[in-house]
Amino acid sequence: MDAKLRQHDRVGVEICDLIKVYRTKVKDVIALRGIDASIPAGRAVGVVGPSGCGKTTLLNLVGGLDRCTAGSIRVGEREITRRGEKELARYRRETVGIVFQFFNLVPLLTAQENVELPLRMVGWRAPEREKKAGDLLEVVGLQSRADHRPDALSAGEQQRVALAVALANDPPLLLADEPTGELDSVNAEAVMGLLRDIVHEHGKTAMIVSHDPRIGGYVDQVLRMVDGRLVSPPMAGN
Amino acid sequence: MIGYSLITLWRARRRAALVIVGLSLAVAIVATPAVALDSEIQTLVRQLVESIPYDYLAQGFSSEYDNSSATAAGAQGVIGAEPVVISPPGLTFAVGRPTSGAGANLTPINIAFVRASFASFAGRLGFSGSFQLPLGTLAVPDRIAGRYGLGVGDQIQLLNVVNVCSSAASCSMENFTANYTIGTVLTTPLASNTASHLAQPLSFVPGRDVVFAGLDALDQMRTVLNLAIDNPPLLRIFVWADRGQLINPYDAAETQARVLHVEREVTAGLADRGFSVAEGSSPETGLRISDVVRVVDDSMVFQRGVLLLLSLPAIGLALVFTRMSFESGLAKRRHEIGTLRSRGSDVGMVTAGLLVEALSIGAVAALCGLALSVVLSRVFLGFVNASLPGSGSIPLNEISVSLSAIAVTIIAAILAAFLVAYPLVRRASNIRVVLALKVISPFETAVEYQEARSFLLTALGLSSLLLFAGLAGSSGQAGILQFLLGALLAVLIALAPVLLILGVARYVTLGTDRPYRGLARMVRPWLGQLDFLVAEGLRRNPRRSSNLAVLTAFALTFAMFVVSLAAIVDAQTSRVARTIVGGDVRFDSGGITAGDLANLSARPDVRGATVVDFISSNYGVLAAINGSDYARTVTWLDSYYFEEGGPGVVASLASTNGAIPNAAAASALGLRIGDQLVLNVVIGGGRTAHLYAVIVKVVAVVMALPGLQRSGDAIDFNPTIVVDRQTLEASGLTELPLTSPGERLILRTQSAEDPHVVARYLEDRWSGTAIVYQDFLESLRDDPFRAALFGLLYTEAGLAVFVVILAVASAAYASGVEREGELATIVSRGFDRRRLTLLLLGEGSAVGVIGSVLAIPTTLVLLWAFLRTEALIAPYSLPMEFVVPLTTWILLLATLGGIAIGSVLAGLRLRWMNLPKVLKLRGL
Ligand SMILES: Nc1ncnc2c1ncn2[C@@H]1O[C@H](COP(=O)(O)OP(=O)(O)OP(=O)(O)O)[C@@H](O)[C@H]1O
Ligand SMILES: [Mg+2]
Repeated sequence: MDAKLRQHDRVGVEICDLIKVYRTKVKDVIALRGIDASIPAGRAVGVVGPSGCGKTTLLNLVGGLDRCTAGSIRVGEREITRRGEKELARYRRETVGIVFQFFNLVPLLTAQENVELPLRMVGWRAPEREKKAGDLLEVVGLQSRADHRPDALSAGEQQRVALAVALANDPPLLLADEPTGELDSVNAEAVMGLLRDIVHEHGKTAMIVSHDPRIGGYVDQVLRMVDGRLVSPPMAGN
Repeated sequence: MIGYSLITLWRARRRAALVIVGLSLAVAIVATPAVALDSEIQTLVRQLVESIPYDYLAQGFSSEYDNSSATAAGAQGVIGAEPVVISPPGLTFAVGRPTSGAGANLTPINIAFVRASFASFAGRLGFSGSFQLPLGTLAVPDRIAGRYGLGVGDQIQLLNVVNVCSSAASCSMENFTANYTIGTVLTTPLASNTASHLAQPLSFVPGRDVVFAGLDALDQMRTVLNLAIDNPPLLRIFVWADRGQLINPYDAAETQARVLHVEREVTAGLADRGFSVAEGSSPETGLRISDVVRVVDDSMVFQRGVLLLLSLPAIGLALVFTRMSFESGLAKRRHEIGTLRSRGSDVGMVTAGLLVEALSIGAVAALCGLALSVVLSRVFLGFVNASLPGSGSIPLNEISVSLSAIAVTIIAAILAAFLVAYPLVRRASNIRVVLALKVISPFETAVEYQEARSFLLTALGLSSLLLFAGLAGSSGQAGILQFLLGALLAVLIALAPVLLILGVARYVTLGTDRPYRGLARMVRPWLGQLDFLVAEGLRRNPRRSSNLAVLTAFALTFAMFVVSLAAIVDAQTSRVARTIVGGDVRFDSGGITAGDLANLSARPDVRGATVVDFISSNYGVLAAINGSDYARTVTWLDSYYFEEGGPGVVASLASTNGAIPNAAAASALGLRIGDQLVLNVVIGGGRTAHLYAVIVKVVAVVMALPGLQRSGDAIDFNPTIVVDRQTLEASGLTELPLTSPGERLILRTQSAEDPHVVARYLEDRWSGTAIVYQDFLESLRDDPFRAALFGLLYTEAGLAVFVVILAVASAAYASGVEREGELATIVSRGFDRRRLTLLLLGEGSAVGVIGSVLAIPTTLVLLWAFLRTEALIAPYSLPMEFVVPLTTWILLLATLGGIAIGSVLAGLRLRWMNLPKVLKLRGL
């Protein structure tokens, strides 16, 4: 694999007194009421909790998709909460890979092209890009569907493509927001298994949000959230 | 990332198509006047060139007719040369029937001596027919033959009166006559003016009729008629060049060079024979061939500017449409943008990618627009040609598009694409990532509606309207103040409708959803309880609905205003012509007796005739008419002309001893209806002068009356009073002291007859010039600039309507697609697919109705304001009348119909949607 990307390998995540308030016209919603957590490099954690407790909000903040109201997030050597938009984009490009509940594939592009997209952004040349995308699709077991657009794929297949997309730039930090939320249990198991294997094999740090109580079987540690707070001790051993 | 942009652009080409259409329209609107003007230049040049009867004239004393002509004809670029000798202006040189004798009813003429081959070019000088003229025969034009009732083979007498001096002291006038046989009757164009102008180079005295004889008759006429022609005679060689080679309508300098080149060629051959060569010019305007292109070019510079300026509203509409379709394209891609950003694209990268797409679209649109503009300029020129009599239509292959025009258009289109796209792209790519990724309808955009802003816009619009009304009502100031006032009014009236439409449209479409609900309720009979879906569709994307309503209102206002304006201006033009001419033919002459008038009226092609006498009095000029005759003949008399009273008083003018002063007379004398007035008319001079007093009563006050103007203007600013001839006669005035223009005949012809025939008869019978209403009206109308202006405005009004139909149809379509999932759900629950069409039709119509409701009053207000401004700026012309032609309403209906069709088409497409696929993508 590319040396340039390997240098970021293994980052830890330090979350410190993280607060997020959604300001709306009707009333302000406090989604996160002070989260403290530390995820060592190479560990996979699950985030669970009732609906509306702030799981997605937390993930969006760690993924650099949204800005927090207060607090800090440190990923590896970098503090990301007070970065400019350009640096955040770079952070998303090089450090994080996100798997969404609703896949978020570009409908106009084929599976192969969707996987190539993050590589285009970091300026890979066509032959290497295609090879890498092909390899990734092979990892998720979809090499035969490479030329199909998302609307021709089943939900499980779409999520496997999305996984390949998230892995394309070989990010040290992998975030997944209910990656199996739209899938039936067979597909869900396949995707979760895949996720676990990849995380372990490549020593990635991962945060996986899920409703599924079986999440514990796939991660090193589970963070439990209720109403914007963590209820389990931050570093309780498994 | 450029690769990515191009891939998505290609995959989403259907989505890009609408943007391309909009942008192409904008490009076409910019390019159309340019392309059309290029072609118009060609027409104008050809028209002007055709008014020049020959290209060069060589003059020299020579009897070597054939040799000299052959030399001229042999020059490079020359297609023909004809020798002509012209008789000098004699004292009385006339033609008539042999029996009529000297002095009686003779027509002064010129004689032109020509060869038989003159026939091939005679048409350029306004004559056609054979010029085979053996000794003793003449060719006479149809006007002379008609005047004396002569035909081929009849005898005609020529008379020459010469002052013959036997010695220095004793001279006497002597008549020389000779009879000739008419060998040919030549045809001249019926429109008399053209013939006389074109024939001018053939006579020393302008406007005289020309009779042709063979060149070998020169010697015979010298002796028999004592014709004073030098020997050898002054030979004129008319030279015709290949005008296609001579003139490049687009290059004045090159044309001039070519004209001079051929002139040098002709001169080189003839110089040693003692000939001098000059360029041909128009007998009417004096314009020379080499100047034609330059003159047309100069007049076009101004035109180009004005036409481009007038294109601005249409260009604006097309750009707004482009923006709307681009925006809706972007809205659909919000999710995609979110995905890109979540994968690490920064704002700059997304912006750049989208701009690459926009610019590629611009380039494609430029090419489409250019092609479209060629088609559109055909439409445009169709109008121009239709209003330019005598010019043939311009064939398509003559429509030229230069390379530089293509380059400029492409650059302009790309620039336009950039300007339209950049702010939208910036906004779209700046969107917060989390928001963009949310799974909601990408179209649901909330608009922050501020009641205060709508109120402000509306109030500003209303107050500028009121300010306008106040200012326009104030009496005109002189000079610079008037100009400033006019400019201020123009700004106000341009601003008021924009503000009003924006303000009211914001209120109606954003401030409340009541109009949507109300209009949606109208489709309830067909949709049942689902009518709320129509209202929802409009309400949920308030910005688009509002934009559409505003776009419709603006475009309709523009189109309806233009069409009505054209009708108003045209109505005024024919009003002016009617006021000046008065009937189908107007003839200013003298000596038309009552018997003549009876004879004229009895002609089968004449419907009515009346005579006006202009005489001087102490209160200005009196126009003496026969009231009942006048009222019967001048059917164009209507209440428009009357400031006080009505047209009914004219017929009974004699019985009431009535007088009708014009506005100038009324204001000078302070006259109102019912006032008594004593008119003094003096007959004779010195000791024999006799003063008559005529007592009349004012029965009406007029601006003008048709046919009764003394000058060439529609309104007479000198006091004039119309009275009945019988009133004058009753006061003892049997003989009238005529003043300029003397006596005037106004004629109406039967509708199927050509008024030129009777006009020609009048000119032949009495001396004077007849004005034919048709010709006069056409001369007012066929101003090429005016024709181009209206051609362009019509074309753009059409385009504006087209843009609206396209915009509403595509919006209906987009709205359908946007709610595809929702609609698919309804259908899956048992809603009849066919009724989806009705749903979109309901939405489209609602927008169309709101737009029209805004447009109609705005148009009327604009027209009213235009008339007010016109009256203020040009108080010395006939006021324009408020006409809203049928076309305006047809335009409105066509727009609504077009919107309906567009919506139905969009609905039909939805009808065939792939239900499972749609439902799957929605994740249902
Ligand atoms: N843009 C927003 N504006 C206002 N409130 C928001 C916004 N986004 C989320 N919230 C609120 O913040 C809280 C946390 O939302 P979040 O999406 O993080 O929950 P979640 O734990 O992911 O729930 P689920 O398991 O249902 O996905 C919720 O109460 C939600 O209503
Ligand atoms: Mg969530």
